[in-house]
Amino acid sequence: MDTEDMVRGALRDEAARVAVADWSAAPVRVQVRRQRRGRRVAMGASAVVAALAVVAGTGAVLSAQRAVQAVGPASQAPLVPEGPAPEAVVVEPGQQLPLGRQDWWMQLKDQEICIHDAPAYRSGPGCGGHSWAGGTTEITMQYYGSPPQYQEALYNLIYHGPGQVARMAIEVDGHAYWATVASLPGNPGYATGYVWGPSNKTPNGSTAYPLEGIKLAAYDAQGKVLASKTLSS
Amino acid sequence: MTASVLHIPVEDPPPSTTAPASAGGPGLREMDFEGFAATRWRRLVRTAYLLTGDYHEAEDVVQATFAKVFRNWSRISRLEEPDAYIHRALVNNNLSRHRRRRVRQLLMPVLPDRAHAAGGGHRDVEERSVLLQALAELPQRQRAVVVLRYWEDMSEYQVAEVLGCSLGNVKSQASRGLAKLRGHPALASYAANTDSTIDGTNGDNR
Repeated sequence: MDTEDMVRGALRDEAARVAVADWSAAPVRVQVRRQRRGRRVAMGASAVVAALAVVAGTGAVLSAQRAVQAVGPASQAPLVPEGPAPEAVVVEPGQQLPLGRQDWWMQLKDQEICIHDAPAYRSGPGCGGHSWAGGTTEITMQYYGSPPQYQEALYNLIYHGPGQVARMAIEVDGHAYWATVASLPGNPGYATGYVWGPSNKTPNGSTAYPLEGIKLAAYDAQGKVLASKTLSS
Repeated sequence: MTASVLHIPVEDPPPSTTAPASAGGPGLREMDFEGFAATRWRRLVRTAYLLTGDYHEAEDVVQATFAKVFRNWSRISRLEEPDAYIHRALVNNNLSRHRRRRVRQLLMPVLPDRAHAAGGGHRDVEERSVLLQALAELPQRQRAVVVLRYWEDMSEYQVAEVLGCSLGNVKSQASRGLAKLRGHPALASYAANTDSTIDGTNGDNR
């Protein structure tokens, strides 16, 4: 019996130990109803934001775009940060990109972002990271706390999908920040952004604000929202 | 190397006049989906169990996957291989959960006190099987390759389609996964039942 057959046998025996109850449709219906309710609330809120942006007469490209795209991804876009966005960087696959803090760097690979964090996380010489599969367009985030100061944390935004990301922004606890966008040459189908922001923990260990509610967005060069999300968990 | 991406139709094909689901309204659509889900449920929960190592989490992951499938049922039911879509959604769902869990772990301002972790963690370790412990030591994607190849019996091509990666990637992940499991105590009883040793593969291994 070779290794493959041994692994097959072991997996089969392990799976057979599990007594699976009959399927119930109720949890699926509950989830679907909750998600539909959430989308209706988000679309209602975005209409209010769009109306206020028009009334305030703001000239910024992004808020005008939000007014036009009141329904859809822009409905969850964060506030527009003050000041210009940092210049986007293009890196070669595997190139170490310093993140502005000692021992912290990032590497971009084919379908993986690798972040090397501070020694306190005991990650060793390698890195934690984020990878994905499939072609779904999405934007998401990883949060890296920064002991022992607890004063700041690294927010790593990841977008994968069509289009060229020119800017990324995050809204944390009511404050908006531009992220530095990094991508591979050409059109790799994804981009990442990083920004140092407030730690969500206070020095005594209590939670300053929940990660739920953080807003993320990726924009193209014209200010159009490519994807946006409000974290739910 | 650019990873392959499974093409998923982005627009629903024109409605067919002979499709009973489109003619029957929401009731028939739900029954159609429920029949589909009920027949896949047990096997998918077992797959998710091998991916997560926890039965309740496995149920949650599969139910969340079914919720996504149900929302897009009119399109998915017309795919040539809806099961491939479901496996892809299941694996991605699990990978996302794992990433979120890691983010929460990184929130802790100090690393957990060893005595406290030993108290809770030790009980968890005792209850887990040796095989699940071995699987937990594999990186998530490698674990997914091992489970899909050797429990779901998917071909390398099918696994590549599910994971949205290249065939070469699947082969190397499978090879590394097997290498790590090969010497693990979890497989000791399987090796002991045969005359072969677990120090390599034979010429027929594929």
